[in-house]
Amino acid sequence: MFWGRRKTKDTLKNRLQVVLQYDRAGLPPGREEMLRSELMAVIQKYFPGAKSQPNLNVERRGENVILTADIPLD
Amino acid sequence: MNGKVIVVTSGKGGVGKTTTSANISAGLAKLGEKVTVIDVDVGLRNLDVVMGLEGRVVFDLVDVLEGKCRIKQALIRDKRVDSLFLLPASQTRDKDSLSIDGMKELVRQLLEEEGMDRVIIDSPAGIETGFKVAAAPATAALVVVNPEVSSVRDADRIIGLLEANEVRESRLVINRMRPKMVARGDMLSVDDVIEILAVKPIGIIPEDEGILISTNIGEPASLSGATKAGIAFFDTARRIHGEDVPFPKLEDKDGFFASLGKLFRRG
Repeated sequence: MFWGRRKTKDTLKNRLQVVLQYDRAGLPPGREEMLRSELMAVIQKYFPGAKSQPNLNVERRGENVILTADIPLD
Repeated sequence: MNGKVIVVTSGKGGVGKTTTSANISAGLAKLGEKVTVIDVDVGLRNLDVVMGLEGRVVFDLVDVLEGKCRIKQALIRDKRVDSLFLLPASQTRDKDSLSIDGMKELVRQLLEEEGMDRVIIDSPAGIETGFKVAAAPATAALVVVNPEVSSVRDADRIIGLLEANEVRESRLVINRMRPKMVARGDMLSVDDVIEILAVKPIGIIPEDEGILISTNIGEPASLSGATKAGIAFFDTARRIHGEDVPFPKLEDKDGFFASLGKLFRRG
């Protein structure tokens, strides 16, 4: 059969699931990067010891778009 | 489907909205419903040629909305199925001729005064004025999608917009399936599409040369029952009408199967 041959539809499925997350949130991947950097800069003003990148999640829940962030402060 | 006013939409162009509108309308009429199908494009007229009714266009949607004629004068009654009517698109480029209030009133008159059981609205591609006007009177939607990257992405967007427009009952028509490619892993399966979009299917239509042939001669494939796609469209009409029709097993002649038994459990 087709052992070892990557199913291109699985590649597509993964790509779609990722891009649709961004489409539904209304925030393209590039801008999420910028948001993360700017957040980092603000956090470091108050917590100079904060070094790790925040973990961001932008998602649609029903009619609302919600940003959740895990921000290590030390 | 309970909705009497069904918009057929997709986002992406060229995926089979007009083919679906023509075939579903014809199928529902064949099942005894009194159906008007409305072509809501802005400037491009397609449903008339697909249905073989182009020689009988006198008035169009904009003529009706502007009060230049009565609805009855613009409706073209199909001669093959006598409860099927077409309201053709206008060929004017001016999108301002279409109004949401006008469409809602037109649909109301079709249901209440012309006695229609169902109004099918063929939406243009895109998410702009044409789509908004087409979706405004609708209570249900058929989202036509091809198992292909752009179509699925656009379908997701359209589904979000339909929900925002309070169209509560949306169902997928998954069009141009190629069983061999699905079996090889080079095309999304029906289950994949449903999982990604999280909307239930109501039609699964195989890629079929018979569709081109049917539009060449101007006869909706669902009326003749002679092609796989025609049968699939007619079965879709039967499900909309309320019949419990199982979805087809997709198979190709080399014997690979994609079982759709899971769909029964999804309900």
